[in-house]
Amino acid sequence: MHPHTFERLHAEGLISESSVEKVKAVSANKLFSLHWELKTVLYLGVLLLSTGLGILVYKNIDTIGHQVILLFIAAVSAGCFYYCNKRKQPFSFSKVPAPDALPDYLLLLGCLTFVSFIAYIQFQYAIFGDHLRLAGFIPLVVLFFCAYYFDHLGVLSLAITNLAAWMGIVVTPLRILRENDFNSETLIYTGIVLGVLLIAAGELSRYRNIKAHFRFTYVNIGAHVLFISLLAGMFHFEHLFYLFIMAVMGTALYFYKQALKDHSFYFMLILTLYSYIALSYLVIRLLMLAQDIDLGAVYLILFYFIGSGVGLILFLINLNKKIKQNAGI
Amino acid sequence: MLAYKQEWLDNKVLHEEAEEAYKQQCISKEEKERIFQAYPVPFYTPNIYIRIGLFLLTVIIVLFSLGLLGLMFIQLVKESWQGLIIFFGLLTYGALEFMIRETKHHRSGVDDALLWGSISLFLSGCIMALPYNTPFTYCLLVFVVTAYAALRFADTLMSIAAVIALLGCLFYACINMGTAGRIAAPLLLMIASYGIYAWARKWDWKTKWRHYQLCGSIIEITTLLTGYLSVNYLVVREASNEFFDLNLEPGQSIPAAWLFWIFTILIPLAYIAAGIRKKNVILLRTGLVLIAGIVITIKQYHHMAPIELEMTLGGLVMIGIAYILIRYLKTPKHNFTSQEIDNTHLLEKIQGESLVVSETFTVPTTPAPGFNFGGGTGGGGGAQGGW
Repeated sequence: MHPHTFERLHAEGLISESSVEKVKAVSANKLFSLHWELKTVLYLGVLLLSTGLGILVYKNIDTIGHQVILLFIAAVSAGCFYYCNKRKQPFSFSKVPAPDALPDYLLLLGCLTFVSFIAYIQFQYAIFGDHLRLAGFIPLVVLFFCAYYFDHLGVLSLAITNLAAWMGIVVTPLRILRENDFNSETLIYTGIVLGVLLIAAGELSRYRNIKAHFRFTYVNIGAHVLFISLLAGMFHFEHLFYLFIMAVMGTALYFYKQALKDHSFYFMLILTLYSYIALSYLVIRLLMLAQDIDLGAVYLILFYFIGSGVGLILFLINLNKKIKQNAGI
Repeated sequence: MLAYKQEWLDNKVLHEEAEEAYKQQCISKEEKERIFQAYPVPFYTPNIYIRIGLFLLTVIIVLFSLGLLGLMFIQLVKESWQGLIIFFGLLTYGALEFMIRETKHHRSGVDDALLWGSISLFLSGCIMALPYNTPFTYCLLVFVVTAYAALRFADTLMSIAAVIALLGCLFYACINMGTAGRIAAPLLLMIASYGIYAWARKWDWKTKWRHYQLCGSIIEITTLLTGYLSVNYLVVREASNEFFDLNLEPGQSIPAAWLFWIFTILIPLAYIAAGIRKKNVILLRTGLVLIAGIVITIKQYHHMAPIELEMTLGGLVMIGIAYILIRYLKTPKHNFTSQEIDNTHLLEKIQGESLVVSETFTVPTTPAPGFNFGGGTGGGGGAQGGW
């Protein structure tokens, strides 16, 4: 904000005298915020500490040191939870803003060290015996509880990731495609169930007004898991091909309606891209069925991609206009 | 010179200022609307997600059009297929100018994709067709073309490419000048980088070159980084090995190693100090990022402790520093604050953050034999994290 710009606007009669004074006052007392720098340092510190401790304890198994390390992990976790609990605002089902960055990140540290702790004592002492599902389930419950109790989106995504891992799927953004074997039928079905579950949880949070701001995290992860599982199903199951393509289109339609209602550009983009993949696969498949692969088919495919690209661009431009208009109302 | 209409660019800046003033509650909503009406911006600039979509789709169209064109004309052009790529690059450029002039696209994803597409097609065609194939000529060609594109479209990526290509010219010129040139190369590159930085600091981005302000900041960041990298011990040692056939064994060092060690450690600290003293965000953040450069360089040549112990201690120190500073700056001191000033995009930021959290922290599933239902993340206490 440059004061002279606003002085000019005032001279043109667009803004009032008092507004110019406010602009001047604000730009004169401009503070230099170290907010993001400090947060990043804190975040990296949490990342390093929890990872370092996690490795440290496994590397020192069967030495005297490892119990000390285990104790240290437990102390860090307990200390973090104590601090967060002391500084937290009273619980509410609506959004509770954190006082500052510290409790947010220390809660993250507490949760991560807690998960390490449980995983390690199961590994070393087998406290849950052969009930491995149970050993995975306890951190899950604690994580979900913390996410709601302390109102923390980061811990919520951690809990969702953990839930997915518990069900057998890797859902972190960069690894969802790399580390899952989408040729496994169990995985495809698990993915569909998980995706629907998460979307339902998200919609329910908003509908029942229980931490309504958690909806985006639930629905976002759920949408990606569901779309990817459905596409994998479409590629994999020859005999159910049309069923899966209908399911992709149906899901896309559902998100289209939701996105129009919420003015969400983000969901518009992902539903467009996923259904474009499905559509292109369908077109190529039909072309391959219709004729042998010769130059003519290649030409048709090239024309299809150019044509559909132009078409989708017009579609997105149109959508952008539509959402913007609705947003104004 | 600029492809975009300057008056609208000015109005766009005005809109941003009015928006900020509105968010800081300096002007009322009616006043903001009045400003928007008095200074219209007819550009087509969609929402960021739509922009990403348009970008991807435009890339698809460009690639498949190239395929189509190649299929149709490959019999005709045969040996001179590089010419076809150059021609197609020019065609894409024509489409870019057309989109900007006729449909008023500005940072819409379409113009970004067409710009980057046309420049990279044109350059790769030229480089493959060029009879004088030395790295110096490549750098010179890249510099000329990207500098033109940066001037014409005020594009940040093109500015970065132009600066790096210019430094590349200098580097290859040095190398060709014999031993003296090779020894001087790191220092000359550093001096050139800081020379460009000083130029970018002093340049008149406020009035005549106001539409290039963002390019100016990007050039500052680029040159601060290249200035450090050109005298970083790790880079200099490995690059000397690569380019000058020194054949250093592990443990051997380069001439004047002490000088490069001093630079390696002092430059990031100097950036941070200067950033705090001058309240310059670019210097401060670049310095903070380059702390990683110090750590990586030292770790490469000196083994101090097992990595997990270093991570644990490093993590503790970082949390400690951040803790003390956040507490200390809770009430603003010396015009510094640890609080966030602009609260408007809080929701979006937090949600971006939650994605980062789920990406970088691997939650260990219980590592036990027989637990192989699907592909759960392996145990090891989230050992994926790196520096």
